[in-house]
Amino acid sequence: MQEPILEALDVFYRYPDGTGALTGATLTIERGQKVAILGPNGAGKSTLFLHFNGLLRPEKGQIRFHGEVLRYDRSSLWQLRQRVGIVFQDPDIQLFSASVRQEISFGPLNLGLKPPETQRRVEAAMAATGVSSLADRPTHFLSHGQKKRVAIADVLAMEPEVLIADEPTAGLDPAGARHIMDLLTEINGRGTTVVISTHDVDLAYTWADVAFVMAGGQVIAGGKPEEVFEQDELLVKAELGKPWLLEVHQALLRGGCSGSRSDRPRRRKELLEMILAMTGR
Amino acid sequence: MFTTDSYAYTSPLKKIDPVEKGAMTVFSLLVALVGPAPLTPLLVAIFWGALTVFWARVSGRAYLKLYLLPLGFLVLGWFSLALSFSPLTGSTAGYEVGWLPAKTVWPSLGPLGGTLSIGPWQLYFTPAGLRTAGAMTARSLGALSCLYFFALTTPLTQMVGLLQALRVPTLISELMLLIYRFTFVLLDVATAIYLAQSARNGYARIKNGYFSLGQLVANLFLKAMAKGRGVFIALEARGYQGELRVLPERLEWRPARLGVLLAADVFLLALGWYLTQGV
Ligand SMILES: Nc1ncnc2c1ncn2[C@@H]1O[C@H](COP(=O)(O)OP(=O)(O)O)[C@@H](O)[C@H]1O
Ligand SMILES: [Mg+2]
Repeated sequence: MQEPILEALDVFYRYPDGTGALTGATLTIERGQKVAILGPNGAGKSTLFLHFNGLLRPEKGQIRFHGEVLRYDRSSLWQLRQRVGIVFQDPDIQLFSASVRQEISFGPLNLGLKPPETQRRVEAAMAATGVSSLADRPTHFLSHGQKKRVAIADVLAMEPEVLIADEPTAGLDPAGARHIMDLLTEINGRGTTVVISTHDVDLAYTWADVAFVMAGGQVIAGGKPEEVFEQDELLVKAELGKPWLLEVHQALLRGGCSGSRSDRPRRRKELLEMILAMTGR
Repeated sequence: MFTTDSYAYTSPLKKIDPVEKGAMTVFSLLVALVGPAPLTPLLVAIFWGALTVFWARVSGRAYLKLYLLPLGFLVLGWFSLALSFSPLTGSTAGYEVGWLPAKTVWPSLGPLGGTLSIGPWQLYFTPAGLRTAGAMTARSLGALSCLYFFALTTPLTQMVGLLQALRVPTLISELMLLIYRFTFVLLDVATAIYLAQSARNGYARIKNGYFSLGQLVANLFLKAMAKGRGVFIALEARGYQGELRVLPERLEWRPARLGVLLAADVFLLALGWYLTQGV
């Protein structure tokens, strides 16, 4: 059932100015998962993402898609980019077109789709991201949250197998962030593998099926979120906090409440039920 | 420019095919330029001004303010046409304008009908000059009203579409689109830097104001370069093949409406002629 879709194998990358952004990054993303990549600023998350659809080429090491090493000729890249889509962190960089509908049509038209099919996909992507009412608005008059949605719709309209979103919640208020994460969950529910980067540990802990931690251009840990976030030294090394759900759970256990260490709550509701059970109610 | 752009985007006439609006504009422009001045161009200005305010729903005050923009040019042009300039010759009965000696040439022109002499030169209004200047002003107003109508109802993306329909090379039309897009990016970056500098009193005194402005321009350039690279990468991520293709907008094309407006222009032309003959 487990099937690798994207893999990075010992990837090295140095920017032209000499910054070594990736120094042997290795990770495997399985098909259909919700994956969160955590790490402090400068850890190399964005750089790794740019490798996943061939925008950057590793100096050393390999990127594989469906088990095959990426090739960097024009037509291979073109095929890859219709199957792996990236939503950029800064929507102002991504959005170029003046009207929302036209903006979203850019990707599908580049895939060589005919206008009627493009139209269908654009409408579907707008409906899925809740921006249908903005269809004729110019992109530069939208709020930041609306721009983020349009940026996701941009990529969604290309119907990729993997949707990568670089810090999708950065710069949003809590409600806006929750809406975006719900949207990504919904997209994942329709069979798309979703990969995000973030430094919001609480969000990643609850949302992700798998969490990876990056620091200094390497992937230093990966696995189920409840296991990854148990490792205190790791979190310190990656300058990450501990999800509050785990922190409270550990404090309860340390304080002598009965319960098993392996039975960690993933959601607020689970923790509350646990507390009620522990206190004997 | 940004206000005209936001009017265009919110205009109720946005859906009208730019080719139709372009045809209206060009035809009215011609009428304003060749029709008997000053009557026809003024009628054109009133007619298209009214359409802009009542049909395109641009606020009257904002619309009038837009005419302040070219006012300086109009005034300069008016003076250069209305005033004549010649060496001081012969003798005329003169009177003083302020502290300079002046001569009355055409008393019928009242206070304007004086001659101002500066050294060996004299400066004066002539009826012909005044007539030319008046015609020029009327034609300018007429032409402006047509262009404003187009600019206030047609978003830039549609203008680019129009250029493409007219077979302007894609390089030029796409450059226009990108420049337009980047103008907003630049403006955002510039505003952010300016605010950040002001917050630290960067513009509190004229001297550090110059310094801050220098920093702003230098930083703007660097940031704009970085953004530009980012934009290119993001385009590539979506399969950019060297052509910015997007879906065309759904636009209305109504020959009847175009016909009515063109007929109105012809009517203004005829009216201008009729009244001018009558005088
Ligand atoms: N365009 C660039 N040119 C030079 N260095 C860069 C560029 N982009 C990122 N870097 C550097 O590469 C490292 C990794 O950056 P990045 O991948 O953006 O990290 P993250 O997304 O995890 O914050 C950082 O040290 C950063 O300064
Ligand atoms: Mg980043």
